[in-house]
Amino acid sequence: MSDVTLSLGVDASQMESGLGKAKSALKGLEAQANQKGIFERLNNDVKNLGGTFSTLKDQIAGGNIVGALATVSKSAGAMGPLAPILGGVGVAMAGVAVAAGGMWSAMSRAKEMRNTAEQSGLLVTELFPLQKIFAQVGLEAEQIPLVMTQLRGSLETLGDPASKASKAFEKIGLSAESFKGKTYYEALKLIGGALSSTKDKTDALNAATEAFGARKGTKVGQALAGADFAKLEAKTPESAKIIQEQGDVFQRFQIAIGKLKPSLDSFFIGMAKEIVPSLESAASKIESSSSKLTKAGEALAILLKEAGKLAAITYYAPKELDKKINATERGGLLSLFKLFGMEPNKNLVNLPSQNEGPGYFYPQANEGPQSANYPLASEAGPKGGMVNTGEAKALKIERPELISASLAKLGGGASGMGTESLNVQREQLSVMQQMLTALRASGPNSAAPMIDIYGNSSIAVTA
Amino acid sequence: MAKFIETNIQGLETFSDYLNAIYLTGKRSMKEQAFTHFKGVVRNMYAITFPMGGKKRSGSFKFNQDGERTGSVDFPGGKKAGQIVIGRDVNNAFMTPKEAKLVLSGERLGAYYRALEQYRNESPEATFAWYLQTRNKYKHPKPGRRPVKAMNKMFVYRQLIERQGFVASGWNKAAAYFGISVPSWIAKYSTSNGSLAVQDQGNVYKLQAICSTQHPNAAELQAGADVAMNMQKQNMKRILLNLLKKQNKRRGFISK
Repeated sequence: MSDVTLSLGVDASQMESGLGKAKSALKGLEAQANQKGIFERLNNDVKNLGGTFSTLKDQIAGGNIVGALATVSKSAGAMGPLAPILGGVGVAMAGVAVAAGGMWSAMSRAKEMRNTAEQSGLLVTELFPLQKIFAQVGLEAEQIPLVMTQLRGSLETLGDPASKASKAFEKIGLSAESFKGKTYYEALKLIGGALSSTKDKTDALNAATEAFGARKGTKVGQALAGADFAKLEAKTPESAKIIQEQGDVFQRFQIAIGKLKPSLDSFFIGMAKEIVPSLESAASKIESSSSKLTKAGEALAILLKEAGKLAAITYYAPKELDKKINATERGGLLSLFKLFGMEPNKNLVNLPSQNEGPGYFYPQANEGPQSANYPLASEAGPKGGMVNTGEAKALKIERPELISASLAKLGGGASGMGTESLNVQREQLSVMQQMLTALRASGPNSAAPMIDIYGNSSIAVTA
Repeated sequence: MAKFIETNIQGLETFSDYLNAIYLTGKRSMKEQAFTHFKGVVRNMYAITFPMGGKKRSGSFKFNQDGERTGSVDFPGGKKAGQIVIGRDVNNAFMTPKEAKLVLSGERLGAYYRALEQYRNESPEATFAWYLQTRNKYKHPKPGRRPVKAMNKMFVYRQLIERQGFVASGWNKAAAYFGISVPSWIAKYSTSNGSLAVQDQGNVYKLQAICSTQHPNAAELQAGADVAMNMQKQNMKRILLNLLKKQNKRRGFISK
């Protein structure tokens, strides 16, 4: 007789005591807050939160950094006491800011465009007019590489006068000589022109079928024959050129972010597992005694989302920003950085002294980022990846005025990047580079101090 | 609107990691979570314990229309698989006159009938007793196909079918405690071949389910326990993802 034993041992005492500590900390916080009248302020903030967030959102979306800072500086004081609990959310929020606005999908789309163009033997700038032409007859962009492969095959047989393609092309006035020295795109234009000028529709149809295959030949032929290439080329957006020129950067960025993604995902979960649930659990468990705090928690979550976006953006603020903001706004910004676990920006030279901060944080001496804090950059080597993080200095922004324009897009949500319009702009790329640097610099471990409030449970399986 | 973040789970490895994460994310108490997921492990053990188990003790589970595992134990499937094995074993042990006529001829058929004579008056119970005695340590009969009356062979087969579910019934005590429904061919056995110990000391919970068996392949169930645990981890991961998605949606991190 043998026993198959299944055992589960759970010791939740440490975890419960951790949560108990969190609860009592919140209660203490509540008492402290009550004593200092913070709750009244917080309540007022909660009441006005709708308006504040809407203002903040508009300001960020509109690129009004100075205005947004002023808004945050008003709220930062109220957020102050909760900072120890919420600390470390910064990187996640920065990640949210990166992920927000469909940036990732836009990058993916750009990469797809480049890949499609490469597979088709075309430039991205050539792909755009073709997409429009093909769309008119119901063909999707994904089918372009297939059509182009068929065309390449047909053009290769033109050298043989006995080939079907050669005979069919001859009837519409084209020969192997006509295609000499032409790119595939030019070849398409040539075929389109020949098809439109051919009077015998049967000949045109035969040629199109030979050139583009029996299945799609008719449709492609129709599309090319009626296409106004010049007009469509003139409408090709600037972004197509950017994708063509900067395709490698997109790819490298995606690879770099791809490497970061596991730690970011892990951090999001870390945030969900270690911070937010504790807040929620703790908040729900003390709800009866402090409904105010729960409401405030919900409100703060929304505020954090917007503020996180702002923090990520202003982390590498240019010197011009420093000149534009007053002491209160600067203090608000410093509070914001502190809240999100970021070191103050070196460009903010006029730091208030330890007694001047309007919030409950005191700005620390700004030592600047140290290379030791850049594990990913160190890994990438002195040349770094896309950005030269090896120098570990504040990022040099060549065109700071572009940030605000980019922010409008960042805050505006996903505009997508359909075939009709590509919204990836050059300045967005610049912001993405800065974001990447910020993410690398911040690292995924900012939430570490929160982890120790949880104990361990154990499980053993024996048989 | 954009989908802001993709909810994914990384960094959770052990059962306790998942248990902690689910507790912290969900609304139930740790006791409820621990008991619920231990119940899940016990249920998975049914899917692994004979006659269920499938190939390489991968577990007998039901599948939905999309071909995804539902988590429900495929008891009928397990029973049927067991019946196939029993049928094969009984066929390997016995040959009825009808079967002999199909596969034997001449002198060999004559020898078969001469041998059958000595079992002409054998009772079904005696045939069954002979079958049980001649099984090897893996409970399979030695090949040989002894002559037998058709009625007696059927009796042996039915007796073996009747005994199905005995090993799995080792988990019945735990099933009764946790409210796991099991089919009558397993539930009919007493709970004496299994035990369950539950300790609740405030924040410390100890749960132990034991399935006692004489099955020669019981060692396979040792590995099966790990499989059952991993299966439950997958269930917990799914639950956790759903919880996180709901929370992230509520917080506005994802819009759909």
